[in-house]
Amino acid sequence: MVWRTLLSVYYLAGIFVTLVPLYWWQVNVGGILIVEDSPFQISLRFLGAQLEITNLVNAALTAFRVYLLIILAYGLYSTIKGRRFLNSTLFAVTVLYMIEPALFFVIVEVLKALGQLPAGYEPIFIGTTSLVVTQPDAVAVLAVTFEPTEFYWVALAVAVLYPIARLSLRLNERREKGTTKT
Amino acid sequence: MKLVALTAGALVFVALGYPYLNASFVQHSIDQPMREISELQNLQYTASVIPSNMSIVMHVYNPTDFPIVVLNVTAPGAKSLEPVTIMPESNGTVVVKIYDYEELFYAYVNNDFYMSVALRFLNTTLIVRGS
Repeated sequence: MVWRTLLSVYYLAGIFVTLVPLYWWQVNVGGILIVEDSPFQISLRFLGAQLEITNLVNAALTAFRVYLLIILAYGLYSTIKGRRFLNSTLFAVTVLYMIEPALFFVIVEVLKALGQLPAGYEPIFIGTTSLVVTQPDAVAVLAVTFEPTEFYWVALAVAVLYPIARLSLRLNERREKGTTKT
Repeated sequence: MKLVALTAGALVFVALGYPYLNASFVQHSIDQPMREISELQNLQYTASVIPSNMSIVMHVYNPTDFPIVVLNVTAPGAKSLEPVTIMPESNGTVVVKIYDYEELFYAYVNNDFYMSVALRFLNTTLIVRGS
């Protein structure tokens, strides 16, 4: 059955993606703030120093990694045994990561609206833009870079297997229903 | 299965996050960015600068290692001014134009003007000159 093969590959590759300790995205705000993250780990460097809050955030993200690993391993086991087990968590987080630049833009806009950050920039998805911070005596122009890592594309390629496997499963179920009726 | 996975995740979070799950750590870590900024402002260089038109030109070596410059301009008898935060350009040049600093100007004509520059990294070579 095609769906079983696709789903098995999705779960197996998903376990690999979950285990590999590589970041998915990097956001660099003029070298002052450098954020590297994935759904399973994060690094926040401010003025060259690692922010301590990342220890706590990483504990939560590692917990999520363990949760997902168990789900994916069970999914793989069930699928190999021929049972139907579907879990879209990895697919969802991978696709949601595409909105990271948009999320960053919203945070800057909210801080600007609250009067906490006299700054603004043209929104972009991938690449470099300029964040202009206006102060009474100076205007600081910071290069802001949004960059997915190569490993993010690997994770996205794995995630894409999920809807394909589901489609294949649905077609198979429809076919089986048709066969039962006749 | 979800319950097992959730329990395992919760246990991992408690095991790894235990040292950090207290109010003082959270407060300490939330304050950290402000402490970094304070540290940056405490590392001061002083230089005798006589800027004829109240603008300052600096050259920062290794600008990539030195992403931020905070100028904290003061003079005897003058009020402290708001620190000026600015990015060096890729060639390391920083130009800061100081407008309407009347008190500093009077300090300058009284020949007792000085400027202190707060920097992030002490090992960065810095030349300051007036223009």
